Amino acid sequence: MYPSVNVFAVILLPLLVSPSLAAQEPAPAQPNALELLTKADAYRNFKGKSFTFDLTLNSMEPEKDDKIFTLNVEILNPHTSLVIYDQPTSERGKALLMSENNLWFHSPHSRKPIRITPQQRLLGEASNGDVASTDFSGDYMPSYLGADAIDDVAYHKLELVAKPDSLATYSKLHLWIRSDNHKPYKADFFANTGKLLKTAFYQRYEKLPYLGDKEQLTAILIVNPLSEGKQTLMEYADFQVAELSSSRFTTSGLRRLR
Amino acid sequence: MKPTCALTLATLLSMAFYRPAMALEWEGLELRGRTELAWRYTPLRDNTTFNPGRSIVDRPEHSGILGQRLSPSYHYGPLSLRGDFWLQSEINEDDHDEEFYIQEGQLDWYVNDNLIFSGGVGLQHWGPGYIWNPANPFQDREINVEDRVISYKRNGNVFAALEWIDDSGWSATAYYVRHKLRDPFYGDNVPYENTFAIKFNQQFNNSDLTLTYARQEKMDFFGSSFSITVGNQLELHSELSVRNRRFTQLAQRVAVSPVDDIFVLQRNETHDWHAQFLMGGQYTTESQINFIFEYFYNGEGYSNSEYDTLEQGAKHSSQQLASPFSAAAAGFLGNTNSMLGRMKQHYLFARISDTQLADDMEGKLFFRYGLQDASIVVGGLLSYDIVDGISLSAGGQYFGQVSGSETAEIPFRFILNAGITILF
Repeated sequence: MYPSVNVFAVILLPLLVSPSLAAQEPAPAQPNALELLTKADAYRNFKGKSFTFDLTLNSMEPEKDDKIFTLNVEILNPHTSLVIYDQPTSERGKALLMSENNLWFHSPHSRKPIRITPQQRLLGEASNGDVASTDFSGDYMPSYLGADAIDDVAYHKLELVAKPDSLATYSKLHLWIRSDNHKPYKADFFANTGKLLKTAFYQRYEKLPYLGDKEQLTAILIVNPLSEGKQTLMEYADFQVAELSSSRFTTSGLRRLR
Repeated sequence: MKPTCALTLATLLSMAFYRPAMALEWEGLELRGRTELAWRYTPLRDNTTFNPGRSIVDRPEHSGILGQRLSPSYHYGPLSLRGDFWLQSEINEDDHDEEFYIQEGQLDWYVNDNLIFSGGVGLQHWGPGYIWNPANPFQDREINVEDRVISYKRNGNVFAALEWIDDSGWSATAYYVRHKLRDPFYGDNVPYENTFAIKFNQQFNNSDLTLTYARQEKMDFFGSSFSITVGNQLELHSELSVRNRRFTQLAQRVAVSPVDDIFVLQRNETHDWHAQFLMGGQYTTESQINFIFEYFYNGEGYSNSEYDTLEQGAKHSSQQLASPFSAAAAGFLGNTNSMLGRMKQHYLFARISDTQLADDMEGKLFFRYGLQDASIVVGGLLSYDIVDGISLSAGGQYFGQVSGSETAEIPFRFILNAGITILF
């Protein structure tokens, strides 16, 4: 079946957007989506520098005990990071390496690192990408969807589509960025099928006095819309900008971590 | 103090000192441990070609296994020392057996950001294959060492290695390893040999390639492996190697008098090229169910005609158990029993696992099928964390009974294990 065409719209549309009318009320220039995304990412990383932080994940489900994981995360660059599990005891020493679009997992109990896929979730509702990646601009191409307002606060709404051959965990996401300071507010993550998989709320920002009062994202709440009450709180602490040895970020380095 | 007493004491101490989230750390020194207490049930088949009337393998069906792993590590500047030791006691109604394994005792020296020297005792494992790694010249005796209630343990190799990691994504490692071939059909009396190897790894955007050359005494080995992530749910991998020495023990008829002959196992040390390869992948669904599928070919395994000769040897030896050649016959049958299980050439493997099978219970189910003789191994593993660091697990393997298949000749009908594991 061919798409239907509204004849009146075809005739009238050129009139509605005729140069004379458009000149009277110039439309505001559309914000640059990539610039907005880069500014939003700046709350999650340190402008190309390598850094480390501690991450606590609290995985919550109704009528179940919370599961709390503590992780030490090392970010060499936007495409290379290392996540080392510290707690609980059953997970201690496990490690996740993200290098370019490769993901490896190593357990002290097994004999060698194994390649895993972004789909494999290791920590509650948080995917590997949620934990190991600290910027969107490396994995997704943004486009501007429009302005939005939530509770009288103005936001830019972006659509991010996974770059071809990237390690992006999601095929598409919608990201709301505050218009005044470019802080990420929330994101909806979608599967290939278009199904909403999860929503993340970027809940807390803190100034880091020991790093020039840089304002940093320190809490994300991930909510599963398909299962009421199932959510994971990710809390970041102890950010340190540090020189990191690239030899740690290899599969052979994983075996030496223990 | 007897090893059993020491092991029991170590286990009791680990239980007494166990605290959830406890970490034994002090000034760069860290100690981790794992205690395993398990029961094993191995009912014997009454009669097989290789174990007639249980005359060769006849052991108690129930046994208890107590294992204590200690893994200390110490980091000081560019140096790190790591150890991985197991003490295991296996006890049954007739006997007990204690073993101490040094899996790892090695020094790593980070000479600079790109160069690392390692040496001591260690295990050299790599390769993307799940159950077997033919591209690794130091491959292990066992396959599928992961899906077990009782950890697989063995002594490491004496080795030295120098690794260069380039910032552009490739690395090269030179190894010296005091190594011996471990496949069951090589036999138990395989000597340690000096092996020199060089491994080159290149990482690409979503894949990696490894090339290996190894020179063992009288043998050249070339190996390569490749793995790739396709989309965000599928991973594919392959491994291939060739070597110019076949070390497999084969059954041979030997005349001991003008009218008598016996069967013996002898290595057919030909120097023609033999290939081994594996290909497979894994797929993870949105609900986190993981599938692994692999096909592997072992060019050093038994062909159908070689296996037929082995069976003839077993039947012949069975008839000689009451003859003057009984010792030789029993020796032949004893050795062949330890080779059964994965001695042929073509196999398919599949595994399904669910980390949240029911509540927090993890479940795995695997299946291995021999293409030459319809041999079947079906296994499973269930594990459940009672509290953090303490888990219960149960699992086992059933060996198919298709007539003429190698799994029908395994002296056990099936193996069941159940146990408790404590981590600290």
